Amino acid sequence: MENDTVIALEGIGKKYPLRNPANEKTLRAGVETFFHSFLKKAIPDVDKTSQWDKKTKSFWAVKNVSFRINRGEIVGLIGANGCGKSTLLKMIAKLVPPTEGEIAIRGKVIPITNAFGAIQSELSGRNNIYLIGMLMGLPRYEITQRLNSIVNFADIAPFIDSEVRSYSKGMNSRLVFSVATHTSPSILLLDEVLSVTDHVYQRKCINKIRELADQGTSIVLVSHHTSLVEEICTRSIYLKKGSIVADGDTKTVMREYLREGNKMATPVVSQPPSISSPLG
Amino acid sequence: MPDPFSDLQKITSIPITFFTYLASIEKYSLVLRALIWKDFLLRFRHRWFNSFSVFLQPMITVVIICFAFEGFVSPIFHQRDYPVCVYLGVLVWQFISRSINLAGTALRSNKNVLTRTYFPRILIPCAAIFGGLTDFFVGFPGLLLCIWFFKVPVSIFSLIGLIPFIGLMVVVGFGTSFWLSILDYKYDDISYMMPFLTQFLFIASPITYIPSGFSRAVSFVYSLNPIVAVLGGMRHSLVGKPAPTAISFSVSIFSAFALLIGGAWMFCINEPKIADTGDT
Repeated sequence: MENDTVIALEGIGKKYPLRNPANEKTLRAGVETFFHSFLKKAIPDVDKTSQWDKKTKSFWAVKNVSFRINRGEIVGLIGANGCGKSTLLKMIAKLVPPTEGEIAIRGKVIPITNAFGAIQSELSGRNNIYLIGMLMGLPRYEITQRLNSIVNFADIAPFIDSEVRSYSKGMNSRLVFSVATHTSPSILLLDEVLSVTDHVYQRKCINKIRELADQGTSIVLVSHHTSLVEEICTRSIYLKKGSIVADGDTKTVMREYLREGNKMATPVVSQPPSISSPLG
Repeated sequence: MPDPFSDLQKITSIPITFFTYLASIEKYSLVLRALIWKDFLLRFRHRWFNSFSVFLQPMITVVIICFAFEGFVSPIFHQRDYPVCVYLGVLVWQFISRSINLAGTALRSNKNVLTRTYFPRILIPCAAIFGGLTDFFVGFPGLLLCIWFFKVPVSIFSLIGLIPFIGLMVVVGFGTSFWLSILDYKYDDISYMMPFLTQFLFIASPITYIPSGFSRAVSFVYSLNPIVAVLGGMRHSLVGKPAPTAISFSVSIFSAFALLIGGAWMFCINEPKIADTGDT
């Protein structure tokens, strides 16, 4: 791993078993297995690609993905729903272990995987800032030092001592984003974070992301906002069915993504879909 | 400040060893502190009322038990130090039942913390146990009050003698909560068995009675429940009740540590699966 690389993925794959009652060892599962022969559940037909593993009845969410991200780079991950973007982020954040391959990471990784949600809705915004900060590895005194800046950035100063359950979705998301960006991360993983905030705050966030990147933080952004990705990401990775299709300059990658997306969206007259399991 | 880019982490599918896992916990002391603090904030949100009720609960329970057993059931309970023995039993029971009911379901109830950042998952039941310990110490002055009220002769040394047994109690609490929280997370139907388990343990432990006159074989089986040694030792030290035999004592200690180490090991091997099923 070179000096400047902060994330290096080598042949990463993630396999999920399909839910199979026989695999579970519970009383309920035992009963379910008994009745399973009467209630055969069908899985809708998907095109039979290599994502399905017939032998072990499982599904490759991510398969053979390798890339490197350097310090200070802003990378966009794009692709259709279910192509493995979020799984990839969770693996980099150590929340989900890969089935194969190796991930090497340098420095502190801060994932913001879901936009809505401070930690504890019964506690005040102030307490939540401390909680999230500490969970992200920032000592208490440092949070106290940065508290003003966090609150001002999130723009929730009048509500700081109200319970978080009274916050709106946007306020909640602003709070989490604000704390996360103030923890001086080396790698920031953003999964659809900016989609619930208004235009003004989105501009603020974009400026903040650029500022962090200038300071050396690497940012991986997952978003369906094509314009947003085009605006801030210098490089993009296009995932399709768990594998990388294109990796490079955002404009080129995005063009390919949009072209394929438009092609897929065009209605094609075809045979009526049959409902049968891809695993046979 | 150390360079955040210096530490290189590798994430692979290879499971980590038990000792590496235990050693990795040390790095996350800040997370443990945050979790304990969260627990504490939630419990004592309505400050004085909650702390007062935590203090009063064991006292009320003891009064009821003493009335029931001393007044109506049998004169053999009619000893001056019986209320003190029951008080000890109730305090210990409160701690144990909390480690079953709250720490045991902690992984499930803290799902929104789990899916946010990575830390050794074993810290979650640990934090809940610390909450139970505060309850124990808040209730403790009530015991002193009870000793004073019934004029039971107790020296300062016999109070100091309680400390190793409190330690053993904590070991039992950690052990049970590790096992139950991991089983609860793995299998859906464990939570339905918890009320039964609590009830069973309440009767199988010497909370309201002082065991005597067991045959050797029965006493061996009985001592497999580590609470027997905890309470036997505490009562022997405080009011001079007959101590458990050496065999029964060692059986209890063995089962307490088997619970603790087995539970921690269960966490180590199931760690990746915990993160995996935590869906965002």
